[in-house]
Amino acid sequence: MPRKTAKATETAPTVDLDLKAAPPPRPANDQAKRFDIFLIDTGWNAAISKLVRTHLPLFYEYQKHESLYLLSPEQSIEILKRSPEYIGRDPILLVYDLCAPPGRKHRNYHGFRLSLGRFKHPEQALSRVQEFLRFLIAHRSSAALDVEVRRELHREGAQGMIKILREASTELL
Amino acid sequence: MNEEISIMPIIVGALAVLYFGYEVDRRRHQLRETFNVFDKQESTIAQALEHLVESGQLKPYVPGQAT
Repeated sequence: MPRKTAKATETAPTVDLDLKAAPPPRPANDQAKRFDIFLIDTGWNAAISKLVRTHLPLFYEYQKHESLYLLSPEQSIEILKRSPEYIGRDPILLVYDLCAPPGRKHRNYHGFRLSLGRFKHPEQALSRVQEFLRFLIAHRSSAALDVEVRRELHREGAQGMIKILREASTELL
Repeated sequence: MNEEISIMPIIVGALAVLYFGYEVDRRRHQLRETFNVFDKQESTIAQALEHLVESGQLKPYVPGQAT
């Protein structure tokens, strides 16, 4: 019996979750929910785990309209057994986009994840978490979030290339 | 002699362009690894997560509760 993630709380509402449902219209305003966010963390990378959990209340404040679920280490292990290619890459923030546009044009996009396990230094991971949060807030009304992920987070395209070169030269200095 | 000197900047410039191209590609690969888009292949994980939530083993996080 896996250890429960948290003590039962009287204030948490009952949740009916369907991650594969047909997408509803995208949020017309900042108050509507768009994402289900899951933190998968086996404790593999202790320093990064501690960093993420320390900043969870702040993360919650920025994403109050979304649902944030924290998996216990046992639950995380069970999940990662189903996708062994991600073992060692946690902590992972898994974001299901409830308004994902269907079809091949968007390569059956359903969401995206932030894998923090590859970072050795907490400062690097924190920088990516902050970037991730900025992105979620800035683009939560976007019709095709997968396009924005590729353009902004993956730095694709000419503008992305310029950003990469600027970041690289800043690091060199 | 003069011809050899004029070729050097071209070679250095070409090497610099190659290096930047390599660096851009390397960093993009790292970013794709970090911010990874997923598709319907995640349906197995989605089923497992849905089960955890619907069975009450997983509840939305609220600050102040123990984790």
